[in-house]
Amino acid sequence: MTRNEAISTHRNQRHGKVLACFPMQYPRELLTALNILAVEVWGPPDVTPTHEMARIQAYVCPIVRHSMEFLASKEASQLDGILFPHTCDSLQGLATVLTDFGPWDKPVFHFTHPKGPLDSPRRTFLRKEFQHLATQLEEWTGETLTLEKLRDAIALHNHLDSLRGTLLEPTGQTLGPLQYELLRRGEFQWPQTWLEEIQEALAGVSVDVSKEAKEGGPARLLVSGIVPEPQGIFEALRQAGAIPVADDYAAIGRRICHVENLPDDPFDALMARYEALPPCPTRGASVDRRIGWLLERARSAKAEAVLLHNITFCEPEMFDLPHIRRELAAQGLPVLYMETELGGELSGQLATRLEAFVEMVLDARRKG
Amino acid sequence: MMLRRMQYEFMKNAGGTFLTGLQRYQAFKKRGKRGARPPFGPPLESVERLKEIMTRYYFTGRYADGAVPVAWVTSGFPSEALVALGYHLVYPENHAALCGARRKGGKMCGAAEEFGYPRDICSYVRTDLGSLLSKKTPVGRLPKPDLLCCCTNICQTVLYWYRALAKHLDVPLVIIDTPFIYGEAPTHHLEYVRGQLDQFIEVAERIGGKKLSPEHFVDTVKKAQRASSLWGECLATGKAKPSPWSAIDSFFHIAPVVTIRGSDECVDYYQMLLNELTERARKGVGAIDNERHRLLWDNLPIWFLVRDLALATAERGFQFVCATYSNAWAEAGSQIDPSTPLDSTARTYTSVYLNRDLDNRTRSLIQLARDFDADGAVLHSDRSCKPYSVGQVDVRNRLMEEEGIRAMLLEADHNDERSFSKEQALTRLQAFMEAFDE
Amino acid sequence: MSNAASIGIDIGSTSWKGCVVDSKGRVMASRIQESDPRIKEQTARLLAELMADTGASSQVPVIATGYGRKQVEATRQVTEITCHTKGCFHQTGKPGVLIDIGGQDTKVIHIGPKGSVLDFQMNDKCAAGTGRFLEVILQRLRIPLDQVGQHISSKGEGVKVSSTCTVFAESEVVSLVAQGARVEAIARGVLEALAARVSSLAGKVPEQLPLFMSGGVALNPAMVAILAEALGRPITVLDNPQLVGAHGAALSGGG
Ligand code: SF4
Ligand code: SF4
Repeated sequence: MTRNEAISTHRNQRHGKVLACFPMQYPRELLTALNILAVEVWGPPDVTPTHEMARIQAYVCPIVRHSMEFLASKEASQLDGILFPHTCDSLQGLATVLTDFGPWDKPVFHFTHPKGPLDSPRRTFLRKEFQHLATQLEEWTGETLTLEKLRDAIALHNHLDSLRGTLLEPTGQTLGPLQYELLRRGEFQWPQTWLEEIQEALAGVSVDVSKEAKEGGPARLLVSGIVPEPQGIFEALRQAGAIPVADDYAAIGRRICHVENLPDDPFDALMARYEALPPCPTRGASVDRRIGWLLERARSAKAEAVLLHNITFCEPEMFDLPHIRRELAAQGLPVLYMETELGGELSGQLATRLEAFVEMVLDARRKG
Repeated sequence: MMLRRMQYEFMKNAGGTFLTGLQRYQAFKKRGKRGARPPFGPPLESVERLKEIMTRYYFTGRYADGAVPVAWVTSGFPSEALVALGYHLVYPENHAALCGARRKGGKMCGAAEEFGYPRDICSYVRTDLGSLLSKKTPVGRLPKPDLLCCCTNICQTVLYWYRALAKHLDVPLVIIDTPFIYGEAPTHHLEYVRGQLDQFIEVAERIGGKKLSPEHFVDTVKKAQRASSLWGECLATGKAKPSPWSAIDSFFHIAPVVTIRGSDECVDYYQMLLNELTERARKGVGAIDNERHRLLWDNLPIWFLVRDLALATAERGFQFVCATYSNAWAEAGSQIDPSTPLDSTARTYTSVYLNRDLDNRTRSLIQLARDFDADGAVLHSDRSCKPYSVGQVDVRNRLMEEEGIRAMLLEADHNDERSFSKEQALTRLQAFMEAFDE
Repeated sequence: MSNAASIGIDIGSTSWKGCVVDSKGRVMASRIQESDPRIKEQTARLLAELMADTGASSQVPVIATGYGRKQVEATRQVTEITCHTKGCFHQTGKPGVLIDIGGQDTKVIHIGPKGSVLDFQMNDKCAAGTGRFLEVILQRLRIPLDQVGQHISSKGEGVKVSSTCTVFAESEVVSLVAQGARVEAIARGVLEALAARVSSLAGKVPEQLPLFMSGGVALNPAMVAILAEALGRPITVLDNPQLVGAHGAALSGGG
């Protein structure tokens, strides 16, 4: 199902609203409970630039520049509103340009997540922020948010996350473009439908037993970054002789937060799930926590190296880089950093870099 | 400890000299280029005092650690409590700007890049981390912090920056997270900031080994507020024609209100500056000889280019009379209410210029242009500073279409001269100015 | 019966390099030519020459590297990073840091005690810090690349060229010329700017590790000297620096 189909199905069959949601973290459970379809905007990768894009300087990340173009286009008329989580300066800039200088004139919502460790003022704030957003969305949709509905939605998303986790690992299967396609379908799919799709896929999967790096096998990578675009990245990896085995992309692995025993109170449950999110610089997690998390992912997936794949001009990811590189290398995990645009092809230079990196990793494996 | 303290106190009251970017700028203004008579009016006399203050500030800093508690803070951090608790404060942004004005920015950025920080990180951050990593600074030495204090009201970048500092220095970090304001701030946002303020004060007391006395705090708040309002009055003298000083001058004179606000010295300084400026305005003494056009400056100064900018504009009778950057420090002042110091501190620091939506910022920019009767605007599109720069294209269009103010975007970087072409920039500026007289 | 064990070819953006090695990895014959945009034809021609020189049969494996490696038919394709490392280690037999300033990209490779790549850095996005940068800017000054040594002023006399972006640096140089700065002083400034860029790519090189250099720019003593100044250490230029990649490719033939 394509994004457009998902949107029209939601409109015609569930008669709900469609909300464009920006990266990265926002309480999607609230949306589901209020029959709102979240359609995430990560770019999109391929847009034809016009004067709209030129309103944002070229030194700003392509997610923001492309989004400007997209939201000013005809296609965006399918959307009823926008939700901006407070992810970074550039996105905040987009949010204010778009509403203060147009062309966006439909409703805009904001979700501000607290930056830094969740201490008591932050917990209080986060809870109020959830409630504040819930109230605004209730007013917008005219639906009432009952505790029942919210509880169900939270349970649904929690279940989804556990399945997403399974899809990512540790069944031992490595990640291919297909799984990524399925994992990313959630960026526009109605959660219940998505859940069924994942269940179906998991049932059909024959578990690959190659949990270990094997002689002659591809180099096993932990991939991290913002979003796996351009999609040619997977083909480039395959050609270079590598395969992702664990994922910390902000769009994918970094958003999975399964909680075993959900608290009964739905707002407590929202808080618990939020707290279970993997560390992300955009929420002010410390560098050490991030490094610890990456190490743990790499070890449990038996990754041999790490690919940090950033988007050009995305500052939050850049600050961690030198530290991740040093500390993971000291643990025997070499790190390759590369920046790409969202669309187009991977440049020859980048492909060479990937290949050389894989050659290095495989050589190290041979030499033990 | 005792000895250290005495050294510190001694330095605080003694003077010393070292070359600052300011000195170079001033010397240059006096001398002009190749001996020709410079197109500038007589220099400000307060400059001498400013130099003294800043020299002493950095000089004392060298002896601060071990003598008094030291905190490194972002420029927008609510620092009054720290001042009242006797902390010596270091403002890495101010330090970076100083390096930039001395044209050391690129070199220091290079040192941070050698460590592995990518080039697209804000150049203040790279300058400062580069200085830290290479142990080089034009001020001799910065005292080691006991506490890092970061407030996100100017950008999220400082959040990443201070996390990196905490990692390099292994020092506790306080984050005051100020949600961005779209329209009006919801109550729970302000309560959130207030809650963090309380928590921060506890930490600062613990590390400083002292309780915050309410009277002392209110006293500091009042002085800080006084300094901001005086600063605002100083800026307002620029409305006179000709303007008695230029916005470029103000980029240097802003240093005390950033670094030592809350002290008597700071208040006294701005009183002195205000007297001088008022007097100049009364006598009709301008910052340049022949003021024909009045310009507004938006965004951070291009620190390594201020001299060239001053000359290039002055030569053609153009004068920067106001700047959103300098103005941001005056705007906040009026909001602090000494009768509810903490609540109003929370509100004030959450509502700073850069933490408000573009509509709000644009209105205040336009008001500034009107108040100062500017007929042109140069918007520095700063590749290093996203929060300040995103939206400028639309702001420029609005200025031109609705206000009839000629405006240009000047793409540069505030501190890293390596990703910049001076010739191209000055040529564009020149073309922009030529269009006024056609 | 020929001794030829394998053939390595390195198809770079500015030049085509190839060599034949015997079973001990010694170079039997080599070719270096300016790159021809018709890569396939040039490769076929030069390969034939190399084979004729050494009597190598068509059974001898051909390993291709360089940015054009995928354009030609070869037994294997290996990246320049691995090849330069192999070629360097064959010559020196020790760990170290290898700098290769190529036409399109500049690499800094950390070579381990067993001759493997421990880590590497490459310039990204733009031509800053590459041979291309040097070429473009020196052209502006009308200084042939191979004679730059005779055209630069001594240490401390260079004018500062601060931009590291090729386009900006070019315009900076043009205006320096217009302002009447000495060409020699500008040339020095340009070399220093490049050295600074490479040095930032190299990061902190551990004290005990020797520095090596390969690639065509290494034939330029002035550039090597300035780079050594920037890094604060002597640099050993490998023998036949241009051929190191092709040699390393040939050495990859066995495995
Ligand atoms: S990619 Fe980075 S800079 Fe761009 S919107 Fe996301 S977090 Fe912000
Ligand atoms: S220059 Fe801009 S991005 Fe950099 S610290 Fe200041 S406000 Fe933040």
